[in-house]
Amino acid sequence: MIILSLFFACQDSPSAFQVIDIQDDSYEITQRSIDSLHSPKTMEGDLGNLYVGGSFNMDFNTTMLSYAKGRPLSVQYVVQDEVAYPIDRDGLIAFSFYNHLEDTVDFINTGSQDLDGLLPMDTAISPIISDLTLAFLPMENAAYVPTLHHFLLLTDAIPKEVPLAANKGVVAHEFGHALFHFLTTGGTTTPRLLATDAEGQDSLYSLDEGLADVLGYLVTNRPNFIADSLENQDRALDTEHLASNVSPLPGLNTDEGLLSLYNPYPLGSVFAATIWDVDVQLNDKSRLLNWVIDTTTEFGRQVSLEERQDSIDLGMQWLDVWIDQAQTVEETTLACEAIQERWDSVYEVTSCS
Amino acid sequence: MFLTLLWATVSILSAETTPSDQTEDWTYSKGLFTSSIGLDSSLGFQRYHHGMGAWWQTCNSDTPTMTSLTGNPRSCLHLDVHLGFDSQTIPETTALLKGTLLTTHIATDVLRGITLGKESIQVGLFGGVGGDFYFGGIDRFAWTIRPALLTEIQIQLPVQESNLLWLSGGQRIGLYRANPSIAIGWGSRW
Repeated sequence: MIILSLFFACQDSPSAFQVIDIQDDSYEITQRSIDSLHSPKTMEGDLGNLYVGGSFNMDFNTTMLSYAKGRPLSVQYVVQDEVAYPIDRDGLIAFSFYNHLEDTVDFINTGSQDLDGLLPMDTAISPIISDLTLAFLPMENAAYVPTLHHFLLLTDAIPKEVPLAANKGVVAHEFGHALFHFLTTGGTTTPRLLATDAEGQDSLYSLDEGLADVLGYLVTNRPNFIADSLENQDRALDTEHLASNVSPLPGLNTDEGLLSLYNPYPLGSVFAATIWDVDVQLNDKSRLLNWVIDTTTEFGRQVSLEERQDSIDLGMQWLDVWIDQAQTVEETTLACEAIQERWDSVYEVTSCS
Repeated sequence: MFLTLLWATVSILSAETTPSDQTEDWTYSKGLFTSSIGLDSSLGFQRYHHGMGAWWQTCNSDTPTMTSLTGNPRSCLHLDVHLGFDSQTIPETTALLKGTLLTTHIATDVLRGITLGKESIQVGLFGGVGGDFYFGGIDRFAWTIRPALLTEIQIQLPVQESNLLWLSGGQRIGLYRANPSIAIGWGSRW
């Protein structure tokens, strides 16, 4: 028995992995190489390691989060013809997650910005969450924990053909939150750009969600990438998202309790749809990525240096910086048209007037 | 769990060191059961396998009249094999099962332990080793094997003279894992 176990522990290193990925415009079971994954058994690699369990804790004096690491994964797979075939669906999800993470990083690296320091980023799978505000996360979700710089994966409550952690757009979306934090604060474990009680927190929250949706779209080229796992989310970028239809807008919600009840997604979808409008016309995803990254970096710098003061519409002011960062007349024209259409009667960019 | 295993081990040793001056009395049982096992998945969750199996057990006793649960224990050897299936939803493929990934688990167990009681309810405490064979794969046949240490509590309820209702619950223990199992079965004894 022991000899058999050693035999299987020493099996050949795979050059490809069976994963769930987009093929011919739909998700299929396919094979992909994952060069950054060094240890498929424990899911450890250049992009970060995956751990099972552990616990997220908060120091209530400093509000600093910490993660007590869980145990390494033990993925069950066999290698045949240099391809790693998982025994169970969770193995398929683990390989798919890392594959999507690598594709997202590869896409971001096509940009011209220096993103050294953003990786590696570890992932905690179903950890114990002792903090009240985090404990209210939905039962099934993938999330990014800013300041701690960790992904958080929870189990799917309802089995799906494309589990959330195997949805390339969802993985890119969550990585988008890590990127947003990195670009706006200049680090991975740095404090958030705004305090949680800041006036501009809600609009910034929506901006964060919207830009994460944009990255999910850019990596997958699917405007409704969430629908592959969760239907009826009304998050498709190519549908009518107008700021004037969002209710309540930031500053108009009345909750003042410990947990904010503000829903960031409707306004976030307006941000995302605005950028999507421009992408459809511009048809240059690499340029759009650079434009959005430059804008977010500059926006973060201006807020950090208090060149932009905390206000309810602080998140919307990202649109002003976006116009400022346009490099051509065409970009400015397209962006102004999209803003005027999507944000009419809610927010106006002065330089578009 | 570990205390149960320790107790069973100590009990086996003590039961086997004292029968020299007493009469051997062998009993046998065998039967079929249905089982459910929560096996650790690749992401550290539980993957539930449901299926069925068969057992064979022999015990020897030095005190055939003992019926109390606190009486002298009898030493037992227990063998079983069971087969369980788990199906999970995946994107549709051209493989035989299309949008389903079927993972099969076959366990072969050897346990030593003690049983308390004889004519009425019998309670058994067991420890042993098992081999967990996993068969899966979507468009390829893939399999692997992992050893496990076993702890098990059995309850046998005699029905009429030669039949019995058999209940079992235990843990399959390995590195970073403790997988629970339950089973209910029907058998005969002689």
